[in-house]
Amino acid sequence: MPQSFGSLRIASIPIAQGVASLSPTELPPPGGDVPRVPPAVIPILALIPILLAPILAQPPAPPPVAVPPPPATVPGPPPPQAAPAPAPPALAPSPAPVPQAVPAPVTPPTVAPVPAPPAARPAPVLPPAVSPAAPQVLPAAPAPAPTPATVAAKPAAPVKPPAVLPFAGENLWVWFAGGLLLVGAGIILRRFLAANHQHQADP
Amino acid sequence: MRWPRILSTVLLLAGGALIAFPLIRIGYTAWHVRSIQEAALAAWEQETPPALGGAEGARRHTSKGLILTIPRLGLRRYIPEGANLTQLRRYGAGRITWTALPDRAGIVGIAGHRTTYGAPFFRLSSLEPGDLVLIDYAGKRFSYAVTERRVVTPQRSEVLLGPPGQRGVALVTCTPAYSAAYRLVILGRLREVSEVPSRP
Repeated sequence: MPQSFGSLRIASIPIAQGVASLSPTELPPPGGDVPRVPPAVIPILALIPILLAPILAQPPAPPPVAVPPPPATVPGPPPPQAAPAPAPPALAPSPAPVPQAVPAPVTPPTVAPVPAPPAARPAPVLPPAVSPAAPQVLPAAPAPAPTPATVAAKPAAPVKPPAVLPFAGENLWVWFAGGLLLVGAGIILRRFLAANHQHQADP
Repeated sequence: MRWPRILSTVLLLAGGALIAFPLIRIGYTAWHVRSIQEAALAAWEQETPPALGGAEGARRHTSKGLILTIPRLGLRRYIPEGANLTQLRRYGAGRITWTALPDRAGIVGIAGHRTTYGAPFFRLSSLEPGDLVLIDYAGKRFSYAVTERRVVTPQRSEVLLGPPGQRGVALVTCTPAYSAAYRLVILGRLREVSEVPSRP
């Protein structure tokens, strides 16, 4: 509705339909003026433990194993285990088999089926050694003794390497990568906050 | 509005610290090893005086270890016995004790750090076949020529055994740089044995 004050006329311009007022005065929510956490922060927060996990739990690579293997003892045991195989029937089974071995020659005809296997096994080994008459006694003592002695002389040559090569480096890239990710997350969060703040400040 | 801002600041600071840590570590360990290496080299040269090369030098030389020289890399390091963590942190490099000594048949295995502790083997990957690797040991100079370069997993320790009877050298370090995922092994074959040249 135009008004006129002398020569001055003031025209009232109608605003667009549906617009109540020109001033964008949106009041803050009634809950208070503390802004809510922007939803974009949540994924960043969720990223933090993921980023820090490889750094905090950095797997220490296998430590170097540079200890030389024992020369004489390591190669010794395996041969004795293999060699005494024939001898044990007469020597090793001291508590239990001895009574079995003794009755075997004493009562050959009656208990033939049961003790026959132990007596039959040493038989092929013993004959070449000394005499067929006393087979079970002789192989027991001499057989185990010479085998370890002869094998122990060899072992110097083969050197078995340790399981891994020495650990001569560090996974420094993990620190770089973790740091870059954290800095990137911080920058993104800062920018988001700045944009949010600017959006709230601008009319 | 306050705590997201604090969080962003913490993130930036933590990230900066994480990025700076490797740089500080590289610098500090290099400084630490450098003084030890200098002292070890000085002690070595004092044991084998410049005028005393060869047999007399070997006779007077009592310390365990050897001197590794790679002319192409401008590298000269005292290599102690043992390539365990302690020795590698102290000297930056060490001889792998289960490998052969230079004056015996077999491969001389020497491990060294790639990036930290003085990074003696940082440019090891730039060695090419034919490059010289010199080892001074017991008054003798063992000259090796690089023959091969291999990248293997840490479990492939048998690469240091070599064919029986062959005399060579193997320089071991981690690869790629700043990672310990694999091992770079530079293999060389003995070319000649001579007296240690007397220093001027």
